Amino acid sequence: MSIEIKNINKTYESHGKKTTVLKDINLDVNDGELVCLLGPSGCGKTTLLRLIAGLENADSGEIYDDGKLVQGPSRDRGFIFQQYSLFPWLTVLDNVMFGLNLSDNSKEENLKAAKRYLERVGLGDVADSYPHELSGGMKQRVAIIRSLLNHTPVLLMDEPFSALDIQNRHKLQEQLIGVWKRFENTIVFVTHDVDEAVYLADKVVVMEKNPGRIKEIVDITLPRIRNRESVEFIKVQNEVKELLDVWD
Amino acid sequence: MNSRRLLPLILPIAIIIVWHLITDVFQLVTPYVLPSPTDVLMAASELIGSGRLLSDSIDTLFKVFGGMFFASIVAIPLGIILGWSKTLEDMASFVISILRPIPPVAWIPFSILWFGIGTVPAIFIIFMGCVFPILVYTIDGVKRTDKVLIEAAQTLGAGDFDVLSKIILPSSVPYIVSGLKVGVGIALMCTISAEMIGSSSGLGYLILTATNLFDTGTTVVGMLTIGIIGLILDYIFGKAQDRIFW
Repeated sequence: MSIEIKNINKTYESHGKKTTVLKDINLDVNDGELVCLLGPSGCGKTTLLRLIAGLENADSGEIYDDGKLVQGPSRDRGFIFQQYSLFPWLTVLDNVMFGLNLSDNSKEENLKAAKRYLERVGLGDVADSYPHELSGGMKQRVAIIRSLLNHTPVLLMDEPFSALDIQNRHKLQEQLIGVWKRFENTIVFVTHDVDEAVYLADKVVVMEKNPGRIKEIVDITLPRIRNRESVEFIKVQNEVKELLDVWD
Repeated sequence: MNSRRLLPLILPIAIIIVWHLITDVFQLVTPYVLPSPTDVLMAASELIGSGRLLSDSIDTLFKVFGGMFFASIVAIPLGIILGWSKTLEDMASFVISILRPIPPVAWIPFSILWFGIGTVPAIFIIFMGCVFPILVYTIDGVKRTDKVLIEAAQTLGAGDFDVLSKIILPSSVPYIVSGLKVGVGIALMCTISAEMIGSSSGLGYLILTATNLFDTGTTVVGMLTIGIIGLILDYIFGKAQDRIFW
């Protein structure tokens, strides 16, 4: 599904002081596209993602998901949080089935689908474990499966791998590309890591702060699966880095 | 055996020895003022032998759990709603703040007018004693629910009712159990006043009638029984808390 962001403005007020978090944001995300929002902290990238999800309201402007005005959170736009967001009182299996069980599907079918998914990503063994028994990387994989299993056409991801070590981060990035190709979701991925953005994105939206706005949109046409060591990859990475370096 | 585990026993044994010395051995005080350990043991063996201690304990426990049951039915759903809606909480908090400090005993006149005498007014007094801690702990638990979990549920398609029943309620369970643990202690403290109203059984009634007859040995047995029941219930709720891992 495509997402249209039109003239979004957002300010926060704290201690009587107004801060413009997002100013005149216009952005189109095409159906099936993987877009990264990249920028320093304070550029409003997470706020923009939360606005797309419907978890927050803009001061002005509209966001359309497949032509429909976004007015609140919906199962059509899954969200992967930076913090761990599994329900601690449910097993991995019950966590993964949470969205499915809200709809009218038969419980038996849900169970089958959930088990199949977990096994496919190598989490079959921990189906009956509780979240506190999992590693950070496993928790985020379970969270991603929880959204995918819900047949969400749009996946919004807020620095989901930032707490992981570099090996795990690379592994999950690779898995994400596999999942994205199979399910053909539209993904908007927030990150402050140039390497991550260039590795994942069709389109990198470079943002700047004070006020938060879009500086430039870089199309990345490198073939997948991308090779971090290739000359082309490093060249694109340097281009994007230069755009960011302007503020430093 | 770990010697540290014997530590809690030192003080009670010392108390019993001193108590035994000033009553039985040197007879420094009359049994009316303070019964001796022997008086208490004799009273206990008689009360246990006749089955009265057991039946009075069961009777008091029935009232305690009755009061807690109705308090939970009222306080848990109400606490979830008040914790969820800032508007409703603002509306209710003034009334709650005024009602909460009123000692449960003060409700005795109304409990008689509304429920007559016997078991029902006793349950009402206990209800008034433990409804507020359960309510306050539940509200607190709801407010401490991790916002990320609510938002995660919403983006998975959960509506308001799903969020309340499937996220906020389970997330508040540790706080609700704490409220019940505090509540059961207060409920036991209310038993004497609750059983002053026309009860003809129960540990509170046992203590009151024994005191009127200057049977202080029986009074102490009743007091200790309430204490021991409190200890056991506290242990059970503590175990329940240990089992909650979130």
